[in-house]
Amino acid sequence: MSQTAAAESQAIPAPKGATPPRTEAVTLSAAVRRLGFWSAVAMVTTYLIFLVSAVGTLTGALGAPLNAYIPYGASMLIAPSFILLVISIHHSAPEAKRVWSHAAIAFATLYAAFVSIVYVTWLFVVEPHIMNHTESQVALLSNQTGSFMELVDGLGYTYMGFAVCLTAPVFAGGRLAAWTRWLAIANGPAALMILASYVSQWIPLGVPGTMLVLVYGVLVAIYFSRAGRRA
Amino acid sequence: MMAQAAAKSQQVIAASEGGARTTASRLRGQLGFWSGLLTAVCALGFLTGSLAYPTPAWRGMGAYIASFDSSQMLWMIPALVLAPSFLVLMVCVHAGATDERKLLAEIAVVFATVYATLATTNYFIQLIAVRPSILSGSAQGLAFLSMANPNGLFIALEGLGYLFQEIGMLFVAFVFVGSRLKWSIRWSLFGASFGCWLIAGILVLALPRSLLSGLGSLGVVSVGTDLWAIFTALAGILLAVHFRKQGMARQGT
Repeated sequence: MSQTAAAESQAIPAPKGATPPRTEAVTLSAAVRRLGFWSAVAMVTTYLIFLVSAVGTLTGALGAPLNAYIPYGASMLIAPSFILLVISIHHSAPEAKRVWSHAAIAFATLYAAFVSIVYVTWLFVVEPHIMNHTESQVALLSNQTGSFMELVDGLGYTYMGFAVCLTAPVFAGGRLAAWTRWLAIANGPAALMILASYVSQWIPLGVPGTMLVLVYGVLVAIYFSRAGRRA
Repeated sequence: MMAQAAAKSQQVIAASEGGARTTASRLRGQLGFWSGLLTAVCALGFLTGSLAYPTPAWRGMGAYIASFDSSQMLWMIPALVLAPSFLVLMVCVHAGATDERKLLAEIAVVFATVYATLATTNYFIQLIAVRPSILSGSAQGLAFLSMANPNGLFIALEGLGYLFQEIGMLFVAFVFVGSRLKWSIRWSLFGASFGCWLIAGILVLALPRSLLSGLGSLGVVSVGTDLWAIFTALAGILLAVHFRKQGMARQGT
């Protein structure tokens, strides 16, 4: 490692009340800490915008076309921030755990590809047709429940849940890490429930997974923020 | 005696590790060189094809079918090959990046993967589904898949795919620092990522329309796309030179 990198890399001290780490010491460069923190913040922010606008759409508080632009736009932006977050987690993982975080990157990439296709189609193909009252021309691509695109969307979020689950082994050695780890593990079964919610068209099944990813994002932001403060 | 044997076995291990590293870096150099070259050839092929056979303006599916000619899709073949070549090129850059810049290269690999997924799906649909449907006269209901339709799926996916590619290029540009060649690679990647759009905006405002139409381009999008192809080809050539130089330096030592 070069001198600059060595100067930038510092060990993450364990959070308060942490038990000594059982694995090799983890070092994080300033770039990884910054990228991890800001991508987590971006993910949580876009996620919250999506949730609030989705509630607004369901309750009728948000009218057309904002009821499409805001939730779809926000959902589209979650994908790149999530990719950056998972890459940061991979680079903060000890060598022995990197096989898991690498697998998480693969699932995160699948998620990003799938949902990007869906939201760009809904925003720039379906929505203009809806506004021109010609939606019948793009019925195949519509966002109706049970449609082709909706199931691709569901598959994307299932992969996102698996990606989060696969990051679980990376978090070890403290209370915050333990919470993050268990939340990540819970995302595995929750991801399957998300898929079931899309297939069965029963939205409540997908609620736990949606909330778990949000809380996970908040905890990972705190994780990277603490690493930065203590470095 | 025991100490001598241990030292000898350590030497053997070190030699075999060194040998494996040399093989890996030789492979990286070769893959990097050929994928860089292929990236450049594909980008130039895309530019030539799109200038020689431009996509007609959208006047509805009927008009599109009537004026359709398979050669209008010719540029998609180099664009289809460009996606995996560019991905392999980014993987080679990642493999050769220094520890402190590996993060940037890895981000580029992931964004390039999303781009390759979107672009290959998009072009494959056009070549395998849309083209035969048009030629067999059964494409009336496929307006949303037509590549000329500004509100169609093709334009949406293409725009998104290249956005991901350009974000990846922006990150990977920061991997290159040091020699003049590396600075040239960095700036050509900046040009291919977002610089092309900035230059296109300036050119469209500054140049007379007659000159632009002579080049087959009128708007920011078409000028920007042509510039993207030129910068991508340049970056591909420079990266091929970079990997070839690395390989030669290793052979020299």
